[in-house]
Amino acid sequence: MVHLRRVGVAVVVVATLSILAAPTAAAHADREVVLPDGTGSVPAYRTADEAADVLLVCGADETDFERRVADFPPDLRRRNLELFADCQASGFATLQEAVDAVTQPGTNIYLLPGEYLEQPSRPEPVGECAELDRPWYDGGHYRYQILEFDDQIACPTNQNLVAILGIRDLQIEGTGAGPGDVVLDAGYTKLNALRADRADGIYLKNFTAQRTTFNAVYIIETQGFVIDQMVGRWNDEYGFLTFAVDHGLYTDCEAYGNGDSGVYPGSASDINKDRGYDVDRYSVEITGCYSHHNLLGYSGTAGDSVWAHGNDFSNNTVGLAMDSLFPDHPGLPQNHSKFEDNLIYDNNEDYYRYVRDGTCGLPSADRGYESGVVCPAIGVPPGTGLLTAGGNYNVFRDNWVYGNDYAGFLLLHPPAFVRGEMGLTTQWDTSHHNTYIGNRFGVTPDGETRPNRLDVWWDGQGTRNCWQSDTGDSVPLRLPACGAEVGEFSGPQTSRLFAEPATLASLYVCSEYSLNELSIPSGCEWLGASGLGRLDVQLTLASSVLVGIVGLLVWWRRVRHSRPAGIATTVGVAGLVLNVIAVPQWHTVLPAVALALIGGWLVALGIAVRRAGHGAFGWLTVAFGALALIHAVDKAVVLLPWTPLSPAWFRLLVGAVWVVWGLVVAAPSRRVVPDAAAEPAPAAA
Amino acid sequence: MGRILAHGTGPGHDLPIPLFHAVAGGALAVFASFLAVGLLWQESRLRGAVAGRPAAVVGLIVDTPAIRWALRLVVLAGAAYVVIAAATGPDDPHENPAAGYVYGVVWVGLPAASLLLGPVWRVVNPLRTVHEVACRAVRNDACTGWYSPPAWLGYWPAAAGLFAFVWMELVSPEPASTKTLLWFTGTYAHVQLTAAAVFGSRWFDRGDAFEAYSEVFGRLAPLGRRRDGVIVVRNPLNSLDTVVAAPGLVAVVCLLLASTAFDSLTPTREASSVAAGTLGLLTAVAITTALYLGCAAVAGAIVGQRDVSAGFVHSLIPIAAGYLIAHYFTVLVEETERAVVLTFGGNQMAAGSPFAPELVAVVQVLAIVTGHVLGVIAAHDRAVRLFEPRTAISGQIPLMVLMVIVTIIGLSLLAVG
Repeated sequence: MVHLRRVGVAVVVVATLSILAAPTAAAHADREVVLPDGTGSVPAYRTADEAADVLLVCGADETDFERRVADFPPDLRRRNLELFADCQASGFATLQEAVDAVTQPGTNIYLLPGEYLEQPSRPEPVGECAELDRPWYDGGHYRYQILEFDDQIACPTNQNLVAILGIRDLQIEGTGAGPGDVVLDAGYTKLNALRADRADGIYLKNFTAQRTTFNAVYIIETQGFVIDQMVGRWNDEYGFLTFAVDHGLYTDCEAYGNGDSGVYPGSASDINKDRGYDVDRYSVEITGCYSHHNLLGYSGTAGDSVWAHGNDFSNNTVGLAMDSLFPDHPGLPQNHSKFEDNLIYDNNEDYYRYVRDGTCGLPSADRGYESGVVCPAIGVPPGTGLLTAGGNYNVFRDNWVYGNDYAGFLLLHPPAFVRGEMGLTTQWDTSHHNTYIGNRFGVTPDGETRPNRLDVWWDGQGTRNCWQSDTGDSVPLRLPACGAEVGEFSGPQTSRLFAEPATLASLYVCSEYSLNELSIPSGCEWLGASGLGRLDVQLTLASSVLVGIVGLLVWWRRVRHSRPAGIATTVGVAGLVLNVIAVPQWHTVLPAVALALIGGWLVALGIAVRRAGHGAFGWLTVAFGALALIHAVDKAVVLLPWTPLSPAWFRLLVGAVWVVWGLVVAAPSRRVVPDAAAEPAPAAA
Repeated sequence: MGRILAHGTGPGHDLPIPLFHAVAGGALAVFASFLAVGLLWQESRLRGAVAGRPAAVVGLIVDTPAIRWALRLVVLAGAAYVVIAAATGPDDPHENPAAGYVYGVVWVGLPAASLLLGPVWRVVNPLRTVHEVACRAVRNDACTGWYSPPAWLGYWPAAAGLFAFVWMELVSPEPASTKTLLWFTGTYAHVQLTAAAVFGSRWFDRGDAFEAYSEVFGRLAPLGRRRDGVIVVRNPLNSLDTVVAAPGLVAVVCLLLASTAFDSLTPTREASSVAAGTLGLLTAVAITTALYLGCAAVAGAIVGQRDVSAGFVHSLIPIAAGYLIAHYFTVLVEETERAVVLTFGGNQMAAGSPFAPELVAVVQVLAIVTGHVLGVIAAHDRAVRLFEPRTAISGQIPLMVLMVIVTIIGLSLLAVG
């Protein structure tokens, strides 16, 4: 139904002005998956003695090997040399060969120091594997097929450098002194360096995976996994992607140079979806990880029931992001994750410069990821510590959040149609019940003061979101306050359907970012617009000019002899000017002051106009002014509870009528009827 | 059949500014022009059929019978060529120029020429030529017919003819096949010539779909004939002011508006059956007409007059012209070029549009916004002339709201077109 879809799109464009996320960019595309049943457990680390079988993988060049282990501690060096000798006798030259040789659960594979290019896996598929009849996902600069599990079995290296398919309790461990000593390098020839698919109980330890057009490590539809002391770097999309998983653990990992995120626990098992604030267990735990110099340190489309604690998310464009933006992720909308005791700082890398200068238009291998280039897969606001674009019942507590040049925490609401769900009742199913307590803003663990520009930016939508009362600068200026513990509140709470109109329009414009087209929307403050270039400034300017012209005309034509009305109009014009100037100062009382001045003017003008004989229009003007005063209170004193919409929406609706009516009241009414023109004319030519 | 039907080209994402800015800016421009004329245009300024400066040279050319007859014969020969090509050439639009002439030159080129020169089809209409030659051949007063066309008929026959053409173009299963084209032209010519035999050559004034089509867009031309018969150069808004309300005119204009919107929404013929397409086209026309008549009714209620719809239909013409340009101008250039190349035996043209996508998008947005702004001005001038001073502004509000909404929808459709 192309036509209905188009009508739908048109209606959406016309009617909504909504929201973030380039709908063309799926966070990631794969076959339809099923979330695990939750019966497994996090696998424990196994020594070689505890393993059911041991397989070795190494290169053939002894001199090279000895050079690689020369600086290891003596015991480790000795062990590696012994392993190398064994490996030369009975080992494998590639990891894929070893994986293919696994015969029983509980096998350990040891990867000896070296660089594994996996040459046999690299060539393009041929024969039947080149002609699989499956849909293609078009990512713009690259495209790939959406393969089923059976396709992966039949053609394991179509998309993967190393494929671990349906093997249980496999442990793969690098035997170097650190993860940098063993490198699995895809050289941008494959989507994934290592894919573990339905590989329950997999344990990956102490090696690096890198340089892919999608993920370094991809674990999918798997119950029980550990990513331990691993490095994932220099990928078009993700360092570590785990999808449709339960009983997972990321520990002591490092991820950097990834165009989407360093760690991505997407569609983690949705085990708490029917719960409130109380949570039994989490499906994925992330701790001790260092994710830096990525677009996002962490991302979680449908990252449900993730517990991230004790990690370092720094020097990314955005430290962490979770969302409900992309279709085909089981477990949407995102919910019930907990982030505590993390370091979230200095996430100010503006990698969009590589889009602007065309670097990201080059093939992946030529972009220079290894020297610090990152090509942003999606549009996000640089300088943000933690971004939630749709999520429920998340807890953000006791984190150190500092030095982020835009905002420490950012929360906004994407309606469900953005992720392709059109049901009316689901449109507002996200960005509720998020709790931000006990975080330390603008200060390092050493006590150094390192403020965020804003501690919080919130679009104002959602029910029962609350923030700690010691939050510093924020947009909006007044936030609903949490109590001491999760699920407790202090003061009035709000429940609103939409962000304010100008905010909503700005979010919509920001969503037009596209890496494929190398386009950065103008007007989006987050992506570099400033001053009059900002859409919210433009909209405020346009509305102020309209209100100003009509207000001045009404005053001049109807009540200019009233002295109080004249004074009020002067004040009102000052308020209109301030209203525009104050847009970038939304974390201060300036916008509220501007609204108060405008409101006072309109009330006074309305009273004067009413006395001058335009009763109905006078009352409308008073009402329009009163709404501005209420909006000022909403901005500066307390976010008003009880209302499903910000006063800004009521101002917009009343203002549209007022401007037109004002024109009717103010318009001159002389006319001349030309005799000639009204008569019919003969046909021309 | 490839490009002929692939109109609605130049999608909105080629705009050099975000779509939001285009839509919001367009709506604001329409609204601001309403405010501006409301405040600054206090009395009717348009003089319609008495306005304009004589264009002596043009008048000399146009009013020289030899030149008129030469033009008529050239167009008649062209029409004959198209019919012969359709009847004898291959049934493949890539090799046969007939479809290119019908959909490119006639359907898109005719309004373009009319926008520049006035209602030109009245001069060169080949059916009118055939009819006149036939009357002169029998040497009687056949040219005046047996009856006068009844007044109530107005533009309704033209509306029916236009609907048939639009249906053929947008809904019929194979619009570019020679069979379809022959069937349409044969039936159409037969009906028109029969009616002309009955009602005389006056029939073509309002009964011929293409004369009405040309007439409507010709009312925006900078050239026109003043009431005293002199060919003049004048403000296109004065040309627009000469539109004479007649039965069926609202239907003609609403059909033209609705057909471009319908076409934007149905880019692929495969998406719907003929029945569904017919229903969709009828629905689009009905909704467009209902919106206009509804707004006119509200305006009438505000100003205390019973029916104001006839007085403002001219304000829809620039809007229709804007959408026509936005929708078809790449088609005009490319299809005309293709048809000419095929006519003179050249090879197929190089692939690709001669226009940069950004240029296409900018022209589209400007065309739509300009059309609406001109519509607002034309409506305003008419309102201050027809309405009481007290209600002159408020009476325009329904139409202004309609125009703002249509601007938003129209520009948004660019994004999906």
